[in-house]
Amino acid sequence: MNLDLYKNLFRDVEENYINLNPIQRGGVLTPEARKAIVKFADGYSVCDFCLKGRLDLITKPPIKQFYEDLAEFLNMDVARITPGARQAKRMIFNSLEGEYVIIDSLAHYTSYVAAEASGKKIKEVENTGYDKFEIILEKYKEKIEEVGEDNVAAVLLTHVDYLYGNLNDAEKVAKTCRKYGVPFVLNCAYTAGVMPIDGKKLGADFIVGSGHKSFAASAPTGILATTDEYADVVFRTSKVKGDVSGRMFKVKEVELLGCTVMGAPIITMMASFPRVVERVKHWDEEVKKARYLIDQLRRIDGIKLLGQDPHNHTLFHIESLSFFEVSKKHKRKGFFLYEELKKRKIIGIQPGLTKHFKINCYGLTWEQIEYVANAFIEIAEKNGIEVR
Amino acid sequence: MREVFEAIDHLIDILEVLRKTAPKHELSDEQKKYVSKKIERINKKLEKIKKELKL
Repeated sequence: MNLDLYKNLFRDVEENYINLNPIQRGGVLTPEARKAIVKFADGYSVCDFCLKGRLDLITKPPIKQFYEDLAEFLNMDVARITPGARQAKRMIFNSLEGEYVIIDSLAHYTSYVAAEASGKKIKEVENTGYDKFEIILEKYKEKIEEVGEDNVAAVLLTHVDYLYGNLNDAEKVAKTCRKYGVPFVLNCAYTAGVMPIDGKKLGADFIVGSGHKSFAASAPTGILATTDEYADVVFRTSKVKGDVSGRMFKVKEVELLGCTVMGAPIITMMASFPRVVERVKHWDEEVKKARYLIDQLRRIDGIKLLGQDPHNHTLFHIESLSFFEVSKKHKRKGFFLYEELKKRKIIGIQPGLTKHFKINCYGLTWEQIEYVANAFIEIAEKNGIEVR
Repeated sequence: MREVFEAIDHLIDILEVLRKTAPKHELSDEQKKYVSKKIERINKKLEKIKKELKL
């Protein structure tokens, strides 16, 4: 065993590079979170004053208050932090009766696996395919009828999908769910924490979010927010009794296995919260920057945006046939684009990709956006691609 | 030893400037002034730590 491998673990990516990684932008910590983590990195440090035996009831640091404020922020009744959005989905599916989960066909794999882990079957809702890849929301009705509303455990819609960054009209699906009386789960992993979310207005019975994707928090952090109607179902407390000891754990919430996220994840999420509450008000500016960057990239011959256009999110999918053509003849093949970007101190595009790649520019300054646009244009020109 | 944490906090504020200005780190006059002030405060904290630990 070479234990030297674990000495001096180090990363200075965000300080020296512009990081366009599609899953990383919304999870970049605020300075407040970074300061808090130094103080609360020790294992059970948030549990100094755990007097009631449950994490969400701790008042110092103010975890109890944070849960209430988080629910208010999302305009839901009750919220809990989970070890990732995937666990939140599993908890919901596991708590609801019914054989099927109706799911959009661009949902994250964890939505599928969470349903599987809960013993549910899947029924997918189609998307329009190339080149907009929009979920056909009208099809939810058809799918519910196909399996029978009594057999539907839940309907899931990914608010913004991870592949194309398309924003879905949640209210439309909520209306269908209400009509059939089936629970509606809105996966806001790419929206809650970066753009304003009003759960009640959107008609969601459950809001799922991600701290490390969109709430400027350390991983793993997820959010499960729900209404009073479903809170007792998904946050039901333990009834188990030891047959020898007679021990019971009545205060513990079963799906959360008692207490969940402690230490760095919860403390960074709390410390970032004031800034997150503020930053969602500036979402329009973030979209404006994304649209500007997309327009600049489209000056390059052969570059096309896949997904909604005009785009409504900072995560977008680029098809670049021109870079792909260059890669066929380039000595570094598909790695040339990654390497050229890296030379210019830009990372986050997956190494080896040229034909299709995703970018997320959330939180970059206008200067950084301009820098990225210029870098792509420079690489195109260097490789003989026409720039308009 | 609150000073140790306070010094780290000031360093983190500098880190934030580095992140916002990556990759060129061409600081505006305001940012330069801000970072200089932070360094000054860190030095003060370090002095206090030295005194406290009788170094």
